[in-house]
Amino acid sequence: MAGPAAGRIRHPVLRAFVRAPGGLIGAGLLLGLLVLAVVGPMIWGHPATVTDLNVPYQVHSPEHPLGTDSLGRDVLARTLSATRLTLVLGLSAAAISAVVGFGIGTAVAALGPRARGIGRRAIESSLSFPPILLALFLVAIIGAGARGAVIAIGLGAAPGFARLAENFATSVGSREFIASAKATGVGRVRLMQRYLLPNMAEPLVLAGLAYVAGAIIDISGLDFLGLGVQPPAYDWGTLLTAGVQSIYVTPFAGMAPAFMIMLTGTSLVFFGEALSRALNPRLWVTGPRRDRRAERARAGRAGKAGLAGPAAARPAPATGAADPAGPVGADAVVADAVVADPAVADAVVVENLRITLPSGGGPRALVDGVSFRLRAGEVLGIVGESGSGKTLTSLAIGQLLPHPLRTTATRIELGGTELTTLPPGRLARVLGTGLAMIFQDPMSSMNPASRAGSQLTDGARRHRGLSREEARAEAVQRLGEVRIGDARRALRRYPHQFSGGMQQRIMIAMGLMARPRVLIADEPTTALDVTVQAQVLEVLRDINASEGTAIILISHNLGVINQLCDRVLVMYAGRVVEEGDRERLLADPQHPYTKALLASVPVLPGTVLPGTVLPGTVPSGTSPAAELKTIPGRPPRPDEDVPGCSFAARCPLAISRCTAERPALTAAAAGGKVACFVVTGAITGEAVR
Amino acid sequence: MSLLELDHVAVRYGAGRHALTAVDDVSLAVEAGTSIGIVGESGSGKSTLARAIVQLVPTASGRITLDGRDVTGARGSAVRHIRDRVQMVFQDPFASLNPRRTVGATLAEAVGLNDRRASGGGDRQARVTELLELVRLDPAARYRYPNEFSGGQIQRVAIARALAAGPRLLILDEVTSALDVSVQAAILNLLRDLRERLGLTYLCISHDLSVIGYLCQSAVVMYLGQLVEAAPCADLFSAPRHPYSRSLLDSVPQVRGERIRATASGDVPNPRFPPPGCRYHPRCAVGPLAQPGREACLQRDPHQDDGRAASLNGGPVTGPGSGAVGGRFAACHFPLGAP
Repeated sequence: MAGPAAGRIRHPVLRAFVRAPGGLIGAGLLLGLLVLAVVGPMIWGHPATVTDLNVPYQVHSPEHPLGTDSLGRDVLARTLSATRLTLVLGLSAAAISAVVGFGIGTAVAALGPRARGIGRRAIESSLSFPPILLALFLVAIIGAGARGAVIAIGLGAAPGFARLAENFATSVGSREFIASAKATGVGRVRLMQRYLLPNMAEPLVLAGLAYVAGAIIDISGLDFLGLGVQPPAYDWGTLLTAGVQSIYVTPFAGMAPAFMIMLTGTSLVFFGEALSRALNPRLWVTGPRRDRRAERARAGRAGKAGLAGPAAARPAPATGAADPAGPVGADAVVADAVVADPAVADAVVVENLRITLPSGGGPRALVDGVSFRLRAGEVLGIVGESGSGKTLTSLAIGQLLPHPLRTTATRIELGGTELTTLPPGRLARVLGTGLAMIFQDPMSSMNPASRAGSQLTDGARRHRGLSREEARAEAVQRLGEVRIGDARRALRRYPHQFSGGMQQRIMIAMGLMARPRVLIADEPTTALDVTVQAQVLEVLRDINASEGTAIILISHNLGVINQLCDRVLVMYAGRVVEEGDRERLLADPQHPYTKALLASVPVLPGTVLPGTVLPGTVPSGTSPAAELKTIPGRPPRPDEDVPGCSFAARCPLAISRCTAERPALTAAAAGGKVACFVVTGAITGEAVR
Repeated sequence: MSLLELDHVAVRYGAGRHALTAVDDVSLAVEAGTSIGIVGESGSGKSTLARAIVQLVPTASGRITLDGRDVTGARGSAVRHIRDRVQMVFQDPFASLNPRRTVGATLAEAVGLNDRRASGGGDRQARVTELLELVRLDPAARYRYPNEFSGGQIQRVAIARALAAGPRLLILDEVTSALDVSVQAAILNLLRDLRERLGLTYLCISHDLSVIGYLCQSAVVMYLGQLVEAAPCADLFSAPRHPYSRSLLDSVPQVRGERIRATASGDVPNPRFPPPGCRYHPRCAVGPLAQPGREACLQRDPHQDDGRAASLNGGPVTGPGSGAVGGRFAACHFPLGAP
């Protein structure tokens, strides 16, 4: 939609509006209606009033395409020229509701706590009074007619806006940037003007615009009762009233104004939605838009080089780059930390995982060429920062990636069973009994409306066919395993009655109910206090030791990884850059990114990391002298096409080959694998260009 | 004379029986030019304390003295006095900036409100450029909206805004917790550098002991609204006196070194219903539940104890060269390592 032209628009709101779907359609329709409102009566005003008693209730004729009404007046002309009055009335009523409603609502939100409480009750009580009755009451006072109708409808709908405005004002007011603005010294009036109101804009604009159509309908209701627009004036409402009464005789007489009302409503909705999107600051982008044609050309070239689309089962590697799964010999050469028992299938095997997001310039790879295996009973850590793709990888194993993300892989196996080819029923059973997942925020992973007991037992009863008593007994046992005392009482409680640490342990217990062979924990302790984190990590360690459950632990915290894992995978920008035994990797990292990551972590004084220089003793009263190593630049965004190594732009060791070719994961010194030309070149001694 | 003095400060939410005492009788003194850390977990009251200092929440009792002037319950010119001297940087970088204003507009506003030397528009813009360069951002960033930046860059903007007022004390509330590891390192280095260059005083709040160790000279530990230990960082990390500090240290997962042990049992209690006596006793590894005979922990809150705690009384946490010996404090009936 509006390619390069949109790129030249400077104002962020306008640009976002043009890009929002339906915005231009809505704006176009509204503009048409406004033009009609202005010129309608000028062109059709007179013909609309010409009565011709020879041709009443005509359905259709050459002079009257939509027929005539009871007095022989042309329906089409009347409908078109009624646009002005209807829109004026609708907009006025909506404006009154909005201004009065928002004004009251925001004012109430700005009061002190006690006055606010009273104000809220007042708004809510006024809401319980039916608006149409309120409108009738007001019309009785003000008098029938257009003016009375507008004021009555306007005030009748005000309480609804008041409540909306009060809610939003309160929630925006509690956001942190308001507090920090106050701390900077911004005054009350300016706070309202520049901080509160603009941030309430989105939903309020949408509500206000949507109500214009509603106001038109409400006024039509009053017209029907004879209390609205009085003859000889006419709006769509009165035309609709008259037309409905003769609908079997002259169907168009009623359908025409109905269609116009519908058209107005639709255009307002389109316009309003686009406008509310445009007002969302998260979509604002300054600067010209990128050149889409050039991007498409680049994507086309990459496609021709052999990176097949989602249809291919095994994506062919681009020219020059080796197969990302590693040269065939690598596995045989490397002595891994955990010796594989050939009789037991690996807990998880992932080969050539690629996750893409379709977009305007071609599919963007968020995870590209990731392969690893999790041995039975092993704990594998996946380390990475945001954007590394570690969470997406784990979700892909659980077959949980939402549309529109697309997953392709040569293999995703759980306990030897290939997951991608299973029918849905079978897949649910295999995953339900074989895999458990825990996420960062336990509160949002649990159903707040059902007790812990039922959440614990549901899965087991479904997948393993246990009876209620059996499942409960097992649940109690699991809770004991995760060190929750008084398990029976815990079963009867709701999630919100537990602390974060306990919730997370309940989540682990829930996962264990199925006795899975694999547990995937995605940042399980990031949201927890450090003392509670220590307990949860101990629980995970116990589970691995006693049940033999294999664990994939995902974290950005290298210290946490060090607590639990046997092997570690380091991910960067959707690719695996290093893999190896935990102790060795942390003591002697090979890949430049891993090295930089380790050097950027502050440590408690007294611990020594390779590559940092600390004074022998730390004199009391001073901080350790070593500065943390930082990594210049930033990770590539998913929409940035990086042909070579994704870390090359920030890497101190980068050579020309690094920006042209993608390094494959190859065997490194002392076990482990690393994806770096410079490091592997140094090992094999081959000449590096 | 200290830059900031807190004297028996308490902050309460709600009233009567259901009141939540977020900060309970905290006394602290911060000398100019020092860097003090406040460590604690959820419910410790550390963030509330910080907000009380900048008057974002009212104090229920106690006195706050800033640069010699009593600013408790400040209004009018006293608020101005605070703002000129203390500024705060928050945890969530995106939440703390108005998403609808460009970075430049936000900074210019902060300059306009607080910097008396910048009188006209041109002056203001020059100062904005200066601030952006101070936090190592490209001055062209001023034209962009917050959502176009990464978390680390926005946090720099937030720091720049705090510096616009030319404060002497910067309160850093978990400023790196929401950032990636490598980005965190850059911000920590920047903060260290700024402190040296501008001679600032820092009050760093964090749950991450390594961050405190990196930025601060001394630290205080808070638990359920009370100050339980205060010491220079080196001493705190090598030989903590309070069992809670010990368990905090034991729980920090380090990249090298031994595996951690969970020495604090159970969860942090609900701050609304703190345990009687010493608030830490239900979780204490050397408390009455672990070692019989330590009933004192059940009966008396060490903070109210005149006897033993008096000599380690909740007095100033001192920086180097201020004269007091050691400046340590631990609110415990049976502090670790004590004879």
